[in-house]
Amino acid sequence: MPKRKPISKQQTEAIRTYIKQGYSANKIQKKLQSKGLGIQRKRLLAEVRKVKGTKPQAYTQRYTPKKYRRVTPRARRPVYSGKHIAVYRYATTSRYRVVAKKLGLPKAYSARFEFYGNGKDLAKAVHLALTGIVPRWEKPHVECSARAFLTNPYKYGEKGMWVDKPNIES
Amino acid sequence: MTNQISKADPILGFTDRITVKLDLDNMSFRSARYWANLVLRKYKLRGYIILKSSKKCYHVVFDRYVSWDENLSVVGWVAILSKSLKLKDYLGMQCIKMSSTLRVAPKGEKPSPRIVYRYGNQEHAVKDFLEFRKLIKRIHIFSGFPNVENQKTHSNHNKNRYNNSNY
Repeated sequence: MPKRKPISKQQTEAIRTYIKQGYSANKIQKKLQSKGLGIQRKRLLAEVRKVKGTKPQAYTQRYTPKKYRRVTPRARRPVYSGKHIAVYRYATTSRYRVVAKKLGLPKAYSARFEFYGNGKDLAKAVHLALTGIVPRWEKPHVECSARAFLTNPYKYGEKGMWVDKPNIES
Repeated sequence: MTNQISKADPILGFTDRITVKLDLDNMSFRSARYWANLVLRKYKLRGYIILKSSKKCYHVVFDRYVSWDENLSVVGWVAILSKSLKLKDYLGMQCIKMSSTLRVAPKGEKPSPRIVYRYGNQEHAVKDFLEFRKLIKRIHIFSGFPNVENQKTHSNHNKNRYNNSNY
């Protein structure tokens, strides 16, 4: 961007004299223009404030009509929006079957993963869960981010298989 | 005591705490709509959609986001007044898991739930639910569920029904 010329001595002196005479900023600008000493409005106002020793108004958007106000960009929705994909059914593992046999429990337990994250990670995490990683029976309801599950799946589950609800006949 | 297990694919569903969801099993469409309208008016939930999950089973999703406490209050109110044991079970499961889930993908022979009725505002929770549902359906297709092609759709289900009967 081209640099603007600094305000000349002539201009500053003229501004000071007009202010002493009690002229408004609008009137000063017109007078300067007629004398061939035109100045950008923004710079003139700054100079007038400097001479008068006043501060610029706070929150100037208040004076702008609503339809012309500058709108702040909408914040992006965070990845964690509280909405999860649940991957659930009954599951069984070899380790659990040993325990179940000892204690006389059903051969499968209700298990669920709840994943959150972006679409790509969710798709990969669901695919990984489908290949045979199920939640441990000690903690059958797991809620974690899809990315964390992808980096370390055995932290949240173990090798096993998803099964139908066991038919219990006594 | 004997128990047999057979291998099956896991089910994919939509879970959160702030959307009011009802799982109305063993109920006609008319009564599902009646309860949805009643809840809508009492709790001012703006709008809803009804999805048919299988024969005489409907899911209802409401449009206004609520707190977890209000969510439980709504589901509990319907469960008590409608005397639906299945809905009471659903409420119990919600309390245990601390979130409510609705099935989106197919489950065994049941096809994925389809929208059968819309009412009122659809801009907030319903819109987000439908977006997430689309994502889950896409994941279900592309993540290599082995039985995707053989799974039933509602239209196939109806076709078979009409072919088998003497229409």
